[in-house]
Amino acid sequence: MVILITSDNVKYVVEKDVAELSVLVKNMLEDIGPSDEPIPLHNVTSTVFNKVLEYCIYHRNDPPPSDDDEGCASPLHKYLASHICSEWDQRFFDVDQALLFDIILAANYLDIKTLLDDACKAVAHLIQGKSTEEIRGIFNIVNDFTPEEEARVKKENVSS
Amino acid sequence: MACTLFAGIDGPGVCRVRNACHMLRGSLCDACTKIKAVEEDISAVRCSLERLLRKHQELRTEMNRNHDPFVVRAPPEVMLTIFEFCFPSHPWPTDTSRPFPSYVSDRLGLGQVCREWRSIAQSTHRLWTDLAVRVDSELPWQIVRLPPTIHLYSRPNFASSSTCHDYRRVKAFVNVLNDHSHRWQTLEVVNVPAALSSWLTGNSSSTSILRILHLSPNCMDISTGQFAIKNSVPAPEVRIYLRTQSGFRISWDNVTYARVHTLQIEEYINLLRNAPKLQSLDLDLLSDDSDVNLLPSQIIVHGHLQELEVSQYDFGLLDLFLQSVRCPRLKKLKVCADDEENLPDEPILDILLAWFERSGNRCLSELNLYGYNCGSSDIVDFLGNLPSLEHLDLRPSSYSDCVPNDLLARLSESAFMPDDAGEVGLIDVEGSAAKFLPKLRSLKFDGGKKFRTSNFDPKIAENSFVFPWAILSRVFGPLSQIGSAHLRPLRHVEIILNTGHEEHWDMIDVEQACIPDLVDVLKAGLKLEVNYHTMVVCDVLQHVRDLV
Repeated sequence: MVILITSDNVKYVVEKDVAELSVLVKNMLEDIGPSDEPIPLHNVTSTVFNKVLEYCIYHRNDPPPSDDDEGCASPLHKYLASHICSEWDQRFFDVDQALLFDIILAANYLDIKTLLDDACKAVAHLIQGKSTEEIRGIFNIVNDFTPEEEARVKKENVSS
Repeated sequence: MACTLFAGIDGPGVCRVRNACHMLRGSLCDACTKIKAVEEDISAVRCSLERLLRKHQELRTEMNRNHDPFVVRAPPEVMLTIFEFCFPSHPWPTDTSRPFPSYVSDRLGLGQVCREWRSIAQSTHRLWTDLAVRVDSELPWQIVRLPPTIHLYSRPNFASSSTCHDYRRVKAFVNVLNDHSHRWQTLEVVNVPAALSSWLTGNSSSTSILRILHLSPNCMDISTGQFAIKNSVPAPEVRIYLRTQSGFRISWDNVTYARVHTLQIEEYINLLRNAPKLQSLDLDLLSDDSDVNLLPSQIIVHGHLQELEVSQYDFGLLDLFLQSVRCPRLKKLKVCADDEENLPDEPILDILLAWFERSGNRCLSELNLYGYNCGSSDIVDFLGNLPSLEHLDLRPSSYSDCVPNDLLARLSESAFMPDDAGEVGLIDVEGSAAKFLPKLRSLKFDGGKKFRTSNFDPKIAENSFVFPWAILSRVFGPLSQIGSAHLRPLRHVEIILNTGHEEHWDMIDVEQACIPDLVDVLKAGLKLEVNYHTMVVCDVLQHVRDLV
């Protein structure tokens, strides 16, 4: 078992194979060797870590991502990979946007590639098919182009 | 002397003063002086307004950073990943009824959200490397930077339902593409009528960098066309994927790779004649209405072809094709028969052997033989004539009784090759002391359902075979000799089994007495795999090793 402490001081006792889905934790465990010392997770709150842990427990027996997933995948492979297939995953990522973004940041910090990819797909799903204004609304973004820049950007789109 | 005020400022509601003042010589009149002062004020206010507007925009950018902490907190590579998942590239749209796939407009749309997103979108190179578009798109096409990969398609019933107006629009669209043909690197034209494809001629004023051409007209299309690029300097190497009917012609001069389907046999032979640089050819021989009289009387000797793949062949057509061509430098041959069509008395091995002899081929290094139907010893005799083979992949027909036992036995007997072992070849087959497959590095054998499983019932599975575990452990030869010049360089043997349904497959029992030897093989770093032909990855030997 591995003891992990989140940034808000909540302690988790996690099975080693689950904890080691995080490359960060795995490397830390290798560095410190056999020890009962808790591992601090500075950038992850317990609210977010609960979700991360739920994902890791569910996916603990998944095969590790292959080399093909690292960028040399075929277009078809990427196409298939870009769709979240599992119903469980779809339900898992059906959370409020702020939490979804925090999961991405946590997955990036903890270096859990499958979670990061899946969460990015979920965000991509939010963007797909949306207009510029709708995307701005989702991400709480205002138009910061000057009128000249905006005219140029729009012209690009029309001419394509 | 006239008033010297000639200069002024431009802008909305402010007229530039260009008339010379004629009232006073050498100085400005009172009105001119005042106008000059007002214009200077206007200029100052405008500068001030521009500065404020700029500041306003900068504050909005800062506001975005504050209101959209995700983009700020997430490293750029995370945003890039999200953007990439937004627009996965795939061969071509599955829904050809959509007039314009959102790929381009959406990608540009990302850059319209805000400056930060625009910067990220523009720096995501992979978002901009391909373009999929229906040729009759309504959008005005004035492409400035055409991506290097273009997928063109048309709606399924374009040829039958299109008006002159549609054709004019397509023509205008194709003209734009032709003007930018110097940027074509991969051109994939799918379900576009051949007549329209023939408009894609490039232009004669630029150099072509086309590397991959994929032409696949609608199978119902009866129009014909000629695909020929006019670019002054054609690309030195072109890969072509062509699935079309006869009558569609292309320039083959610089084609080095061709994957061509549904042509007549005489067209394949003409293709070989017209493509002198061809190194790799993948074809099928399905056609049953070939006119033998159209076959060229002169045999084609293709000195460049190194890889040939023939699929779904009819034996007669395969023989006819091979009678007409010679490939002395062929290194890789893949022959895939349609499993159900293959009959036991079809002489595929004889046809191939006779062709190797006619071609004078001594360099075949890779052979993939799928769907053949012959005895286990026949394949051993056949392989004995191919000493140059380095990689062998055998997948006998499911109706065949061919198992790897004889081949593995022969390999294990001949793994160690003393100096006095005779050379074998196509012409001079020697006795048992001759070297058998002396260069073989890898062997893959898809054994199908022919082996006895743990649930073996002798009454039901009369013709099943015992899996050759003992032979398999010796197939690499004496492990102490690994690295010796006298030992065959075999390093990888994979046997694939199909013992039932994915959910209910029966195991092949590993002979207990063989386990130590098998484990020694694995420990020696040799790749020996016995896998089940199923979606579930299961290497029997690794499992055994783990247990040990």
